[in-house]
Amino acid sequence: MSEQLTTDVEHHEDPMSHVPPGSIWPLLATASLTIVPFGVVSVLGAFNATHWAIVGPFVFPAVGKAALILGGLGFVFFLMCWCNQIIREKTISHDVVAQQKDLQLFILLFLCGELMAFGAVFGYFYHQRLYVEGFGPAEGMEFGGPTVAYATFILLFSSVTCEFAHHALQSYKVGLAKALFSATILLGIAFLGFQGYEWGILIQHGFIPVGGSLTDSAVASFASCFYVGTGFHGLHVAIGLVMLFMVLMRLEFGHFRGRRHFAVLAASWYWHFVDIVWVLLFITVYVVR
Amino acid sequence: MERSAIAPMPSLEIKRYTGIMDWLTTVDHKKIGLMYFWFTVTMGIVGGALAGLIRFQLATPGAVIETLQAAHLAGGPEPFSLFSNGGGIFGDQDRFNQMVTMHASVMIFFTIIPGFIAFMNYIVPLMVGARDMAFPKMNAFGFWLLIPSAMLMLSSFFVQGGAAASGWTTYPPLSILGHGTKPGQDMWVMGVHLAGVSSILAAINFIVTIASLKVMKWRDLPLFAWATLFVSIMALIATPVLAAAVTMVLLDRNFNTTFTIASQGGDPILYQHIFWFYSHPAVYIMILPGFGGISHVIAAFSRKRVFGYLGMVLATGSITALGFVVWAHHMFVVGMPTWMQYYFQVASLAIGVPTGIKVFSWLATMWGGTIRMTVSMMFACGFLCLFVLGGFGGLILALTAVDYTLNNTYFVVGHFHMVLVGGSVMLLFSMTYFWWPKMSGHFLSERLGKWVFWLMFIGVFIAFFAMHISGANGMARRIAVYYSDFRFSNYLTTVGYLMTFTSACLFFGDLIYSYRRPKITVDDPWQINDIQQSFEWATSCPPPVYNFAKVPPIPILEQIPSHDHKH
Repeated sequence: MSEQLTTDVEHHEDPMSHVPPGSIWPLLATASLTIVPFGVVSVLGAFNATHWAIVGPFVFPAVGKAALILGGLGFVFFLMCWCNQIIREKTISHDVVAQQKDLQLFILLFLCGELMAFGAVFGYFYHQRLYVEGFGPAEGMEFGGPTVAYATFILLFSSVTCEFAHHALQSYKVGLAKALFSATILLGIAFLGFQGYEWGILIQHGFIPVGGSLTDSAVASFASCFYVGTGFHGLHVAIGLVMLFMVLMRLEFGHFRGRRHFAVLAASWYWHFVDIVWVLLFITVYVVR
Repeated sequence: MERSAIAPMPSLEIKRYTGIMDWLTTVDHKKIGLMYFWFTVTMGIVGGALAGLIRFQLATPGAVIETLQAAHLAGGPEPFSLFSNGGGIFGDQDRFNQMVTMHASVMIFFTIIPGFIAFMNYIVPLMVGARDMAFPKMNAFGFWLLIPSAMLMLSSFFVQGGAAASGWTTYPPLSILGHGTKPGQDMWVMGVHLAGVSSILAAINFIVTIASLKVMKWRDLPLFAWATLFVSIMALIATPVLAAAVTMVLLDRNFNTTFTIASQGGDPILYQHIFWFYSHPAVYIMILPGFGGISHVIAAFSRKRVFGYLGMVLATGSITALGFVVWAHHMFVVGMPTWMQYYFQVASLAIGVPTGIKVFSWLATMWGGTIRMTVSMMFACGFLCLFVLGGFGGLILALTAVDYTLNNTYFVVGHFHMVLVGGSVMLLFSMTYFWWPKMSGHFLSERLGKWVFWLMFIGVFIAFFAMHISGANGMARRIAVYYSDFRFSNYLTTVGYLMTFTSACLFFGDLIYSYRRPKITVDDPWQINDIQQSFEWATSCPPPVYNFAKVPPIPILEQIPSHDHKH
């Protein structure tokens, strides 16, 4: 084993040549993330004027709102800078194929974590379904009409276009890949649109856990689960859209011409994951009674 | 094994920072490990000070109910106390609850978990022969996230209504109280979110680092790396569930959902299930890395290979697996079905088996060895005594019928402090004494270290054994007052606390002073390289920024014969 390793490892005179440069972006991303929770509390109006010494200008909800927006945007911006630095770094500590494998493992593990977070939501849902009488939409309520069917169909179809886009890229048909990725993004946006429409109608009918027209506590609990489950999923759709958009932009800049496709693979896996979760969520919310 | 064609970085393009900017922009696992370490030490002192306020309250005359009643009957002044509704010098009894909550949160999220991550960060890449973690920038991000998390939690003391006071378990409906007016609980929840993200990122990073950058085969992987791997798997699977649980509390407090509000269709007990699904694995997240580290310490100072390597790995693995299926033993009294109580009781007792395998393997490692009683080894032995003692308390509590009586008493507090302080903290000390020469390039004092050890060992034993006695007699936890029957055992606990805290202060001083001691010039200051199976002793103290000039350090690899799998 050792002989093989000695011959394989190419040794350079200056070991510093393997050391990657430092990066300020993790720190700046954290710094902008820091003000977000303070902004949240501030917007909720929960600080009062005597807190100057501790939270400073956050005592004003307006400052909190600004901090929320600036912190969020700053975080996204610094993450972009971070990605940019990684993309620009010409070389990595070991060869490209191995690095790609590491990154794939990363995204797989990350999705495992995501799955567990969704698992908690599903666990809650099924527990309530089993043990709470009347857990579900209110009697005689219009719930889960054709809008949901369209939305589901759209998201399923977007997964197919995403897969074909990836295949097109692998066989170097960049134009086709771009077209298919654009289609995926449009379908994703359409899904979010349908979802928003659905939410709007339900809220209009007073289908909210507290303060709406719901008098039955089991239905209120169902409403909590519904909004948090679909909202959390919608958030993931939005993140997936950002990833797909970045892939599209990078295709525009002429990236992904060689063997390195990690960002494409990541976006595609993430999109399929979001799709699978939607199927499970659809069954949980609309089918199981 | 296919790590070929390492391309050199075009050195002209690399901008190297120096001074403070070097630390702020660092992606080097060793610097990040040291930052984790100092963060941990700082937070340990904060958490220790909070514990001090709890202990001093329980040693004041105003903490004894009879004294209080006598004073009230006589119409005299309120007896002196730190936290009392009649005018304690630090506030009312709600403040006491805040102290309890924040002591736990600081110790769990900012001391013990990151304390082990410090060593995992510093040692594991060296151990497996890697130049750095698999994702160095993400590693830095994971560390930086802890700082806003700590800022949120600690600054919440000074906002309206003070910090979170519902215990670190955040049980509703207590944690739902004061929504919209007392932001402390919201800040706590968001602090946990940030710490959780940090934990998940670190976990992913460790798994990929070990799986992909190790130069040895799986069967030669050092035990500390194995423990890191298992802990990371646990953290990855469990932490998102914690995030989901505390998010429910946050949403219920602020966004009109009803997840945990029983009157509106929610289920507070279901919250407890979801919470403990994370928090029971978290108990093992707080001890398993130390199990791995201690195997190296005991093997090194017994001058023997660790006994039963494969058994150790499998035991760690089974603790990981079992850790996920025993959570409800924290909540036997919530009124769950009998079959569930039986199941969780038996499963909890079953964890004693792999833990026993580990303890016996450590003892067998020492058996017949040439034992060198360095401070690190003393802490390892102290850990074995106190951890086994605390573990027996755990076996008692795992019995459902007994738990009905002992639930929410100081017996529980004594048990988990005995395994966390007598276990995890002793392990952290042992690992620090063992690896500090590698991390800083300077020895810690062996002479002062003996004082640190004995003060801590005796202090921990007194403090937490006395807690068992208070609890067995029925003293309730998280209450700022008690009947005079419990006075003596509470005084004992406070004395034990003072000894432990003194020991920690001595250690802190020594840690700072160690930088003034002569620099270690050899790679292997303990002279244990021939019996260790890892690479961290094959490079200078502290290692250069690139760890190894060649990857892997082949001469060392050849010195290490592979394990004998027949035994």
